[in-house]
Order: sequence, then structure tokens, then C-alpha cells
Amino acid sequence: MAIVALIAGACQEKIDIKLKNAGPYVVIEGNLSDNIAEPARVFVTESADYTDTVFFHPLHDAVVTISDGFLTDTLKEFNAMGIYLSPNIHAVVGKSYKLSVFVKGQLYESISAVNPPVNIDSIYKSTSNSNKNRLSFNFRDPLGITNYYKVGIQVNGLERGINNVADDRLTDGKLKTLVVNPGFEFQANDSINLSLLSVDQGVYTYFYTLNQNTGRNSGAPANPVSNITNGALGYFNAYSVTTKTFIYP
Amino acid sequence: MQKIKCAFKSYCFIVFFFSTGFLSAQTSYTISGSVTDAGNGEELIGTSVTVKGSAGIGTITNGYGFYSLTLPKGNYVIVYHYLGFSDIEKEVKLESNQQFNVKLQQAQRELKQVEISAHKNDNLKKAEMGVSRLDMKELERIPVFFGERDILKSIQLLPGVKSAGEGNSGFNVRGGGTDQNLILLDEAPVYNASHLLGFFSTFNSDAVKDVTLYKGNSPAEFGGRLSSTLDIKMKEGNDKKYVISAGIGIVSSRLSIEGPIVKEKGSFIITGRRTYADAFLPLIPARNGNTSFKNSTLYFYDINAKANYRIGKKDRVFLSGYFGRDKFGIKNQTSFSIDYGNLTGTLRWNHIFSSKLFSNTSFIVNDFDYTVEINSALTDLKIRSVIFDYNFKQDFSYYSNAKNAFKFGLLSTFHTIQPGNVVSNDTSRANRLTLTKKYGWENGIYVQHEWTPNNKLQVSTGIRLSTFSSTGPSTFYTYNKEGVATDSTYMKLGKIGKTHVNWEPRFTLSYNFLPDHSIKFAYARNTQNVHQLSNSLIGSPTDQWILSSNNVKPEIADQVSLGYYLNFWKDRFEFSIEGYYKHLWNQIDYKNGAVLRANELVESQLIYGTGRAYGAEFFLKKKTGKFTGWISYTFSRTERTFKEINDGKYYPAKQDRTHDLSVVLLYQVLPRLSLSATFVFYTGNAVTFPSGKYFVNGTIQNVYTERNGYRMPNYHRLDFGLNYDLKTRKTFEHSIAFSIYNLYARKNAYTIQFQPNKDDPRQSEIIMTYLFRIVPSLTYNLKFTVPSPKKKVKDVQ
Repeated sequence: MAIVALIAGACQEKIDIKLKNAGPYVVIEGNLSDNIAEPARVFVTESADYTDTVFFHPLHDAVVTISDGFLTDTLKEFNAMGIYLSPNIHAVVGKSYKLSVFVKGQLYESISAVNPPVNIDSIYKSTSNSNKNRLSFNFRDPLGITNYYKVGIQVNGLERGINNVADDRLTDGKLKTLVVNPGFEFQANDSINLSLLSVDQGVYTYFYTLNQNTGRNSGAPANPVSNITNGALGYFNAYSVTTKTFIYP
Repeated sequence: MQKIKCAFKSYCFIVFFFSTGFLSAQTSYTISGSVTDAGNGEELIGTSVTVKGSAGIGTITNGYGFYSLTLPKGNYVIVYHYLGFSDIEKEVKLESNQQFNVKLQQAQRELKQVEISAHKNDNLKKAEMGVSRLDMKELERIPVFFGERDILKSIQLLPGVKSAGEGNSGFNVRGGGTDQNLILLDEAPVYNASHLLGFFSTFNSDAVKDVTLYKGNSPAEFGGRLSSTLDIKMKEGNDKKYVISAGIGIVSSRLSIEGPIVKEKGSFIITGRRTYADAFLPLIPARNGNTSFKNSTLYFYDINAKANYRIGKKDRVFLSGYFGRDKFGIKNQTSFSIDYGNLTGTLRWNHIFSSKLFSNTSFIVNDFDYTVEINSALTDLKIRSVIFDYNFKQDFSYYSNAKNAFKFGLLSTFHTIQPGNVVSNDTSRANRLTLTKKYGWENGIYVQHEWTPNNKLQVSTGIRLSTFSSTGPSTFYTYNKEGVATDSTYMKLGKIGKTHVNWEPRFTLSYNFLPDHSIKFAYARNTQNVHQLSNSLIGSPTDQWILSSNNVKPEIADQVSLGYYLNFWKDRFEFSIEGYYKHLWNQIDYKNGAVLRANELVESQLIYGTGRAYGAEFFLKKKTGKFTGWISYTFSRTERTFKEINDGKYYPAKQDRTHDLSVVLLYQVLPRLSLSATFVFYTGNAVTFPSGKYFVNGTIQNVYTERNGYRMPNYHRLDFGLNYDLKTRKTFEHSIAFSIYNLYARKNAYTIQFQPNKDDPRQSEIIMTYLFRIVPSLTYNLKFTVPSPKKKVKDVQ
């Protein structure tokens, strides 16, 4: 616990432990936005050994399709990076989409539903500490319906990965404030595009369980609860999004 | 209810039968009374009262110092013996029932050698297994952490008892969870027995008289937790003189005042303790711009108070209480604080019905609560949780004759749990949430028989009927397979819902087959109806408690154990091997991604399975001479199986530790100087480490395969202690205690984290956090006895 470390003046040291090399496991990351300017994007990769000095191993020759129940669109690999794109299909609020990936002789599928978007009220520099790495924003949670949110951030045109999610279990109908702490520092005059995604329960659960593992305190870390079948790691997210721009002072 | 009535009738019948049925050929009479310390009036628990030359026929004093021995008419010499005191022999012409209240004098050191050989093998005869008694005098010499003598740390030096780890509160007995230990302070259960997240226990050893640990084979009078019962009895207070004791240390201090209310009729004791660790926090240099130490609060305090009074010859009343509080807080722009503590209160009445029948009636309240507060520019949240019990306890001891003794009674507990109350002062930010209070009524009725047909065999048989009922006003939910609530029922006040009934047989046999050797066998079943939920690696005082219900079944454990005991070299050494096997049912774990906090439907997050634990415990103790001490080694395994985890295969529980070794050495260099050393070694707990990594959402994540498939690194450390008694005068004793914790500064792992390198995220690192390297401490202890104004006071020791 952070508290104990604080009391004891805890110290840290890098060590070596012999770990098993399990897998490799297929990792699928699918995003389908309601923003027409965004193509459908599915990232298909493979897990690595813990000691490998690499970000990921891309998987090529996967057959990737997204369907809304009537039309099925096939995505094409882009730049041999394991990224499969299509500009032809977008999320529509109220619909459900099915992702299907056939790779390495196995079929992986997932279904995600698109919830109505929620607008961001205001964004401001977080006053909770003097470090330049926090941002806060407000939005009003719609009363009476169950909402799940995910946060996205783009700094100076570059997408940065953050896993913040929230629900409205305790805050239904209230003005919610979320703090974004992406793990890097903002600089003055950074152009920040902050996105609020309305996601479904499966995607919320994925990121919620993912965050539990990254805390120090997890007694029994386990792979996050994925909404993809057949043991794939990762998620499929069909969502609606609102974005607001903010210049960091 | 039917079953309870039936059981009641059964035991009433048994009592009646035994009280009239055991006819002996001659008329018998009873000697009874109490045994106390002549110096301060404290009852001596477990004093042996035997017939001289009878090869061990006799009895021992009970938890209140009362004994009763029934013998055929005749002449006897009765020997009263308690370790550390001079024996008293009394000639008795037994022609009628007689009462002898005996006062034993503390022995001078040289005498100890002689008296022990006359009473060797007492430990071999008793039908008790898996029982450890802490010698409070020995406890004073074991090296300490931060100058604080600690009962919980000391029992972890005994076989079968493992600490839950540095910085963790709680301990594990024979593979059980940290919530499976019944910790009683003067009969009041204590839910959270640690201060400062496990660094100190809530028991001030100045106030403690006797500590007994039962490792799963508790006699039928105890029930409610699966793995152990830790029975702690407080001192009564000196009933002859006023005594003030104090200890002043670097991190904490304590003060104790005791004395008579009416000389030799009643006494009181009050002890208090406080740390001031936070006074040192501002001295810790800010690291990485982290200035949180500057405005932090970190302290705990506790107070024990007790009073007792003798009314006439047959009655005695006791009132005792404990109040303790921990406060930890950080103040930055965000302030975060945790405030938690226990409160216990016990009112007891001893009544001697006859020379054979002793009774104790107790009313007990106990409470544990915590409040977590988060105040920042964005949130203003306060979460409060409480668990509160009322208890009524009635115990009878019936000493039928020299070969038969009975105990029977009942314990009725009413539990109230407020799982969490979320209060936000800024209601625009978060809704107020009050989780439904839960109530439960728990009962235990027991009968126990101790049979000693001769001086080689002792058999203890008991049965406990345990019931648990959910009661209103409360809401109960039913869930389907996916964990969705399909039904909710509201029960109003006074209504009794789901009732669980369990029988718990207890059996121990002890056979002293050769003078210095004995073997023992025991079987016990225990059930548990209060469960602590924790899905974190490090147990926290804010882990919540829940009750058995229509969804949560009582946990059940069956334990068999077999042991061999030996005293050798003229009783200088004590050796034992004890093996056990325990099977556990209805164990609780959590679904992947379980939401346990502030969740009205928390029962939907639970999964249930079974477990097994087995092991062998070795213990060797040298009891006499300048060099004393012990070695304890435990080999054990504890495993669990849940349908939803590891495909239902058995996997090691997180507290599984294969090898656990403790060595304690005490060396009395000079009459006033003693040195001590403790060495602890154990192999690592079972943990879940990653077996790979992958990339998702722009971040590197770890791949996990099976639960608890890895081990933490081995833990070991050496502590050293020194006790020096300064020059004493008649009424004033003082001493200095110096100790060093972790003498060779071993970096023992507290947590191990797996994360990408900050500069090159393609590389993944393993970071170990460790807490304490060398920690010295110094405490000055003093004891001042207020001299009686007129009489000449003869100090003992």
C-alpha cells in the first residue's frame, strides 16, 4: 500500500526473476468510432516474452471483418504493422457491431453496442498538484440511464494511450469531474484534444479490470476480462465520442 | 429453533445424569478455592493442584484461578505448584468439603532448577494438542521492533503460526486465512488486532497476564473461527499496593497504573500507550519532490482499563474495557486520511455455586470501525464502516470427581454490520450512499467432558452446536448464475431469515505411555460465520466484513492432528512433532474484476470453493540454565480449489509457505544483564507474476497465466536484543532495553512490481520494494511501587 511505503521510507531495487514464457497469445484491439473522419481500426498482434526488448509482434494475414448485422466490411492491413483499417464502416448510436478475426488458424469474435454520446462541459488544468501532468474536465451524466465512459487524449496530433474509465454507479445525473494523469508532462501551449467516449459494459469492464492489475495492491492479478471469445487478449470497442480542444496554459 | 431446543434438553439431561449418576463406593469430599500470587493478588491460571505421592491425581486452576478437587475421605498432602513460584504443600484431613485459598510466593531464581524436576511431564499429560502458551516473562526478553513488546509478533515465532508478512496486519495459523483467528481480549472478540498496518499489535503487554493459542483444536467452549483461538487474559491489578510502570521509547511510550480498590478485595489496572512516530516524519527528506511527509499524521493510541471486586466469598465482579485508535493522514492539496479502531467492553460475574460448580456470566460488547476521508478540490468524500457485536456468555465448570470434569455453556452474539456509508459534503459531486445494514444472530451451545482415568491417559470430548440466523431489518438478494440480482426480499425487525445449523465435535486424547514420552491425537470441526473480504495482496484494516446469509454459507474446517512429545535430559529440554491435516469448505474468493467496495450487491462478486492444508511442526525448547530458547520449524502446504480459478485445479493459497524456521536464544549473562537473539527464515509466499507481455491501447501490459504459480523471494532476518536492569531500590525498579531489528540489513521483499523501463518502454523491469533494513530501538522501563504507609513492605523479587 502506498501508505506503508510512505511510513517506512520504502526503498526500491531492480531484481531479476526467472519467469515462464507463456503463449504467445493473440492480442486484438478493435475500435469503431461514430466519428466519420475516423476509420475502423483493428490492431492484431501477439504477446512477447517478458524479457523481449520489443513493443509488440504484429500479425499479418489476418482476416478481419466488422458487421452491423446487415453489411459486413473487410478491413485491410496497413503498412504491415498489424493494423487493419477500413474507412467504409462507422458506429451508429443504438446499433451493435460484431468483430470477427481469423488469424493463425483460430477464429476470435466480439460484439459491442454503441451508446449515446455525452458532451464535455469544460477542461482545465488540474490544481491538485504543481506537477504539469494533470488535466481535469467536467461533464454532466445523463440521469436515469446507466452510462460507461472512457477517456481518450491526443497531444499535438499524437494519440496517447490512457486507460481511464468511469461509470455512474454513485454519480447518476451529477456533474462528474475526471482527472487525467497520462504519465507524461504537458508543456505550455500543447494542443490537447480530449475525448469522452460512451462505451458499453463489456469495454468498461475490460479497462476497469486492466487498471486493477496496474495498482500495486492487486492480490491476484489476472488478465483483464475481455469481450473477445476464444481466449484472445484485448477488446473490441464500438463507441460514440465527443471531443473538445484545450490549449495547455 | 427446533434443533436448538432439542440440544438444550439434551445437555440439561447429560448434566443431570452426571451430577447424580457418578456414585463411588466411598463418600467423597471436595477441596476447592483459588490460587493467587502472594505479591500482587493476581490469579494464577493453570496452577496444578495435586495429591502428593499419587502419581499425578489432581486438577488445575481454571481461567479465574479457581480449582476443585474431589477425593475419597482420608488424609492427604495437597501440592500447589505454578512455574516460577515456590510450591506450597498443605496437609488436609478430608472429612468434609473444605475451602483453601492459597497464595504462592514468587520463587528466587536459584530455586527454579529444583522445582521443575518435580513437575516435569505436566505438559505431556494434558489432553491438549496444538496449544501454545506464551510465557509473559520470556516475552520481556525477546528482541523487539521499535521498543514494543508484541504478543502477536511473538506467537509468530512458534511452529504453525506464520506472519502475514512485514507490513501486513494479521497472522496465518496452519494455512488458514488472517480472518480465521478468534482473538479474544478478556472474552471480547477483537476484529482488527493491529495498529499501524501490522507493525504493532493492539495488545499492551503491560496489561496482559496470560496468552494461550489453540491452533485449530480449541476446546468446545470456543467457537466462531476456523483456524485458531488466541485467548488473552488481562491482569487484574495489584490488590495490595499501588504500582506505576512506564516505558519511554524512541517511537512510543506507555504508562500503567494499578492498585487496590479495597485492599485484597478489589483492584484496578489502567494502561495506555501512544506512538509519536509522526513527530519524526517532517525530518524525512523530501524525495522526488514528494513533500507529503511534512503534513502527515501518523499515530495510534490505546487504553486498557479493568476493575474487579469480590463480593462475599462466592462472588466476584469484573469490568474491563479496551479502546484504541489509529490515525493516518496525508495533507497536500489532496488530503487523505484513515481513522480506525476497536472498542471492547466486558462485564463479568463469577459465582461459586458449590465446591464443585463454578459459573461465569459475561456481557460483552465489541466494535470495530473505520472512516476513510478524501478531501480535494474535486472530491469531498467520507466512507464509514462499522461492525458491532453484543454478546451474552454463560459458562459452567463442574468438577464431578478427580477423574471427571465438565464444562458447558452458551454464547449468544448479535452482529451488526454497516458495510459502508458514503457521505459527500459536496452533494453535487457524489451521491450519498448508505448500504443496507446487515444483522445476524449467532449462537453456540457446548458440552465438554474431560476424563482422566489414570495418570497416563486423558481424554477430552466435546460438542458445540453452532447456529447462525440472518435477521431483519434488512434486504436480502438472490442472484442468478451470472451474478445478476433476480430477487430482493425485505425482512423487518424481529424477523428471522435463513438459519444455518452446524454441529462441531471436538476430541483430544493424550497418552503418556512412558514417563517422558507421550502421544496425542485430536480431531475438531470448526465453523465460521463472519468473513473478511480482501482481494488485495496486503491485508488492510479497511477490508470489509460480511456475515453468512442466504448466499454465503458458513465456512467449515475439519482438522485431524497427531503428535509425539518428549521431555529429556532431566526435563531441561522439551521436544515435539505435530502433524496435521485440515480440510476447508465454503471458502470465499472473488470473481475476476470484483467490485467489493461500496457495493450493495457485494455477494454477487463472490465465488466459493474448498481447501486443504497439511503440515508437520517441530519444536525443541531448552527450558533451564543460563542459555534458554527454542527452535521451531514448520513444513506445510495450503491449497485451494475453485471452479472459476485455474480450471478448478488445486493451487497454492497466497499464504502458502513451505518452510518456516524460527530460532530464539536467550542468554542470561549476569543476574542483571540478558542478551537475546532471534533468527527468522521462511520461503516465499505464493504469488501471481506475469509470464509475458503485450501491447494494448498504447501501453504495455503483463500476461498472467495461472494464479499463484510463482513464489516471493526467501525472507530472513536476525534481531538482537539486550536488557539491562539498572540498580534497583526497594520500591523502584528500572531497566533499559536495547534492540536491533534486521541486524544484517537484509532487503526482504515487500512487493514486487513488473513495469516498463521509464526511459525505454520496450524493456520490462522487475522492481522490488523493501521496507526495513537496520532498525535500532531503545526503551527505558520503570516500575514504582507505592510503599504502604504503616507496615514494613517486604518486596518479592
